[in-house]
Amino acid sequence: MKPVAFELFRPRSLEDALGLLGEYGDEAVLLAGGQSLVPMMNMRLVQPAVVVDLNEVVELAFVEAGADGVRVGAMTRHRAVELSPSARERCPVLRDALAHVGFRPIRERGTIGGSIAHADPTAELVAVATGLEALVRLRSVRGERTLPACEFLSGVLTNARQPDELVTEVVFPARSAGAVHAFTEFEASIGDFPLVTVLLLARVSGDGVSSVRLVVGGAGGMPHRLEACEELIATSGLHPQIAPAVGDLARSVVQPRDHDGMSASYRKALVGTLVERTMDDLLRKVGAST
Amino acid sequence: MTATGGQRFGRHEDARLLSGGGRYLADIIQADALSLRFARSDVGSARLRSVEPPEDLPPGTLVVTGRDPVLEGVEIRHTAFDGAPMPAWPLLPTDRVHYYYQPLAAVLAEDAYVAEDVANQVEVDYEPLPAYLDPHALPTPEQHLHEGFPANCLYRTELSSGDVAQARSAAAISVRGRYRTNRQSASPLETRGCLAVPDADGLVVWSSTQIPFVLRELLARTLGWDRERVTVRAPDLGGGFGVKAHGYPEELLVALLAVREQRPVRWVEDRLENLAASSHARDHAYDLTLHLDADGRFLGLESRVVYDGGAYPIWPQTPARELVQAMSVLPGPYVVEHYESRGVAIATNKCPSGAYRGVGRPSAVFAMERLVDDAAREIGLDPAELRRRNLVTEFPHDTGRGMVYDTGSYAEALERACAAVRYEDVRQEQQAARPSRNPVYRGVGLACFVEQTGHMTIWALPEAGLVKSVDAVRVAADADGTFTVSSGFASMGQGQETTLAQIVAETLGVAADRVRLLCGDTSRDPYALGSISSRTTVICGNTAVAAATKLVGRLRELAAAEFGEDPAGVTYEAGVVTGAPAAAGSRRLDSATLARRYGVTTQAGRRELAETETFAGAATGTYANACHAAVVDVDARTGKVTVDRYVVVEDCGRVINQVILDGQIQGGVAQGIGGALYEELVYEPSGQLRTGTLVDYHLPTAPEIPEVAIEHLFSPGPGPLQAKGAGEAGAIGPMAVIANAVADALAGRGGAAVCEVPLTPGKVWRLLHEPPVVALTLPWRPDMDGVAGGARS
Repeated sequence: MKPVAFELFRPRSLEDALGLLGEYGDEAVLLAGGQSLVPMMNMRLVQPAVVVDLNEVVELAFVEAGADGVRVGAMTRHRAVELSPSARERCPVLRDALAHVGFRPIRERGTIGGSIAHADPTAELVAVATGLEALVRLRSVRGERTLPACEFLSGVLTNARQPDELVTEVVFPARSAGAVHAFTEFEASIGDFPLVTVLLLARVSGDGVSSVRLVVGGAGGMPHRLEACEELIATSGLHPQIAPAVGDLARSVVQPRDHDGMSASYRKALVGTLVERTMDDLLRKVGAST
Repeated sequence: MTATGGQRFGRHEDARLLSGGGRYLADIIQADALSLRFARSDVGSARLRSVEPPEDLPPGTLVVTGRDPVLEGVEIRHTAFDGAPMPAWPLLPTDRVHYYYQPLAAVLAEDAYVAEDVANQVEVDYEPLPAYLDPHALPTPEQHLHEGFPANCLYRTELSSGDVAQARSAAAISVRGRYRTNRQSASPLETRGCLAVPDADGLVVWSSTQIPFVLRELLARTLGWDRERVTVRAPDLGGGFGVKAHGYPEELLVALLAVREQRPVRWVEDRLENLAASSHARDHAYDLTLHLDADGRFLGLESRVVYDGGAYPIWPQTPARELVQAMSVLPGPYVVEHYESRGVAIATNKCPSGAYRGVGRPSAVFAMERLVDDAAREIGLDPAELRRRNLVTEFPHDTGRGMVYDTGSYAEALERACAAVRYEDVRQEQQAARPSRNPVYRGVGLACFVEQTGHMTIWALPEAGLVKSVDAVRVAADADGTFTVSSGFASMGQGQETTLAQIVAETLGVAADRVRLLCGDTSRDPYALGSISSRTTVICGNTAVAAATKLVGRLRELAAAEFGEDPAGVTYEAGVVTGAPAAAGSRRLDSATLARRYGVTTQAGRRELAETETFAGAATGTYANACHAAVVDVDARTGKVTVDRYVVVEDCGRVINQVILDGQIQGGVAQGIGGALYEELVYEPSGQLRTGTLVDYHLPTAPEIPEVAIEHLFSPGPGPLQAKGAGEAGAIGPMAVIANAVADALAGRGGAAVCEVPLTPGKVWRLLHEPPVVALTLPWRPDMDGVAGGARS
């Protein structure tokens, strides 16, 4: 449980950090909150030659709400987002989902950039970024580019970052008028990694419902939208009776595999149940009585 | 009657332990120590061809393999308590690997990081073999582990009372159930570790051990030395729970290499090693048949017990100890005249199994209490009522099986637990439950048990090098007016600094903060077997009363001599001896003065007047009892079980310090709930451990553990203290009570029977939605019947 020897850099500015990445490229790993990287290094699952510690790069820790959304710096702690009034106001779903992450000591350390880059398929942030179609901004000495979250999150525990690039911020679109959301997850014990995450977003206007997004994590692969379910909700409207039908549909469309002693049939059932309960939750929020 | 009078003041040691003042093994500074790291097997079973150091060995590092001369003729050799042979356990194997993470080589380096680098580069050439993991299956020749132990059977035995055939033929109904508790890790917060420091005469071994004196015997025997040349010191322990009541290859290698290199050597286990290679526990299977008459009275019980002991026999208990314990305690607090039990301990390609809080009892109580509930359902009686009809109510109760229950409150504990958990309310809530899209099934469970505590578990095995000694306690008056109580057990967080100080302070009539405890040092403290078997308060506590009483007598005698009076005429109070009023006026001498005048100076430079007593009580211990009760809610669609409330009504005789007692119970219940709902060590078919990190091995955390409502009853225990042991009891009931509550919640839902723990959400969901056709088969192999008292053919 001791890492291999590595060279440690602690840049104090983004410019210095980018310079180091330009120099060391894929020899280097980036240390943000360390909640996943440090255990992986201690177990020697990751054996980097160079560690670039970003904790002194204070310019990457911010929450800024603008007209187009909420920009969250890569080194912003989960807890800071949770406590940010502007994040809560402009992007309440982000705050609600992050409250589920681990225990508070973990949220005091874990960062937005670290979580999105780690690309854990059951991470709350990954589900939210996918559902909200957040933007991930990357910088390198070569310049800057912005990717939609679903492009950045290229697969389980992998992302589209180039070796010299650094995630500088994640931009979450601001809540639009009439937007409602619900987030649910199932975990074997509180604070544990969730087995399934479900995020439901919609816009309600008058009697109609539009822009429905249903994202499921932990159903195999990365969190993904269940478009058939979205269509069912959009065409049926937010009626109390449809929750079980949406859940049943979700259960039938996901295709998880048996994994680590958990059967695919149980996971499918969990997805169906959680989707139904997330639907119920959303219906409660919009005032439809179940 | 209800137990009262227990002190409620907090623990002396907390200020130190909770503010970073504890001194654990890894805190001991030994600047010139070499770090030891083990290269370990990443397969479960293999033929070992070679273990070689890496080519570019950094200077100053050393790789020791099983073929190193230091290990010639050295292995852990012992027998079962009854002399039955056991296979030897090599410190580092030379020909076969028998479990995942078995140490294959030891690397010594100046730096712990370098040691780990080199350990990862040790070149191991092995031919993997099919792992033997299911003790109910007959092994193939390739799956055979130890020569002389056919079919991997390490030990088999039988025990009985009465004539079970009579019960069988007289029974109105016989109920058979098969149950299993799965493999668990005790997971102390502090892992194992040791530091061996050679000196001119011998060796000092600091070890995170519960059994300093017993470990000293193993070390001395391994080194081929007289025991006086080895000193074992146990510093503060961050939990023990039984896993540190064993001798392991790792600490023996540390000692051997420290002696050979004439350098201090330190090894601190990491969490992966702790999960994979510190003793596992609770891997038991039961096939039980209960014979009842038409009124639900138990006529007889038949049991077959299969214990998976892992790859090697744990030292010094061997799997025989755990197996016999489980077989003995099955009938529990019930009147069971006719009993017949057959049991086997089987070797498998898993980590050696050993003691874990409760030793045998948590699993046996789980099986028996599940059977009682299943029988109640079968005959249409409420589980509480069936228990009521069968609990022992008259004491002493001779089981006819070598156990005599001294005192107890079995029936009262049941009634109180039912009341406290609001048993009847749950029955009404169950009746009133309405259909729902998201059904939550509520269930209530009970578990009654009796626990032998404070017994003399002398492992008097010549082969194990153990001496037959009796625990001793020393109480000293110090020249500064304080008192010191010392004994050679270990302080592992169980509060003995407070409890023993309090016991001695009460006997001496002084404030508890004038008494301090020294323990865990074989060169300084009198012999004690160790902090195991819920025995320290019963055995060392009563002996401390005797030693303190003897010290008071000595103080009186010395003072009387100074006064020129008859000792019978002087008065002792609160550390001060006063002369007879008629003769003296103001003649008085305090303990400090007497210690200065008549004491001796210790190695540590203290001047003290000391008296030592040895334990004079019965070797059979005393029987504590409890009834646990819990209410659970089962989310039918996710399988998740939530514990709504948990009640313990327990009787451990006189309560000495209720804060400590309640803490022991609450902590034990938390560990038990872990085993009931979350924790399971799972091996892949290849023999590798799938649950090798705390991500996969789910320990419960604070939010999962309900506050336990605790009530105390009083049935006197032995000796002046009248206390019974209480360190393990909390962990004995939860697997049974939670499983019974889940079974109660699921009853009549068309699901399968609850046969095993942990009841993880996935397993509970499967019971309800994909019930297996046959819940558990647990085949009893033809070779499992045989000659009692040992397995060797």
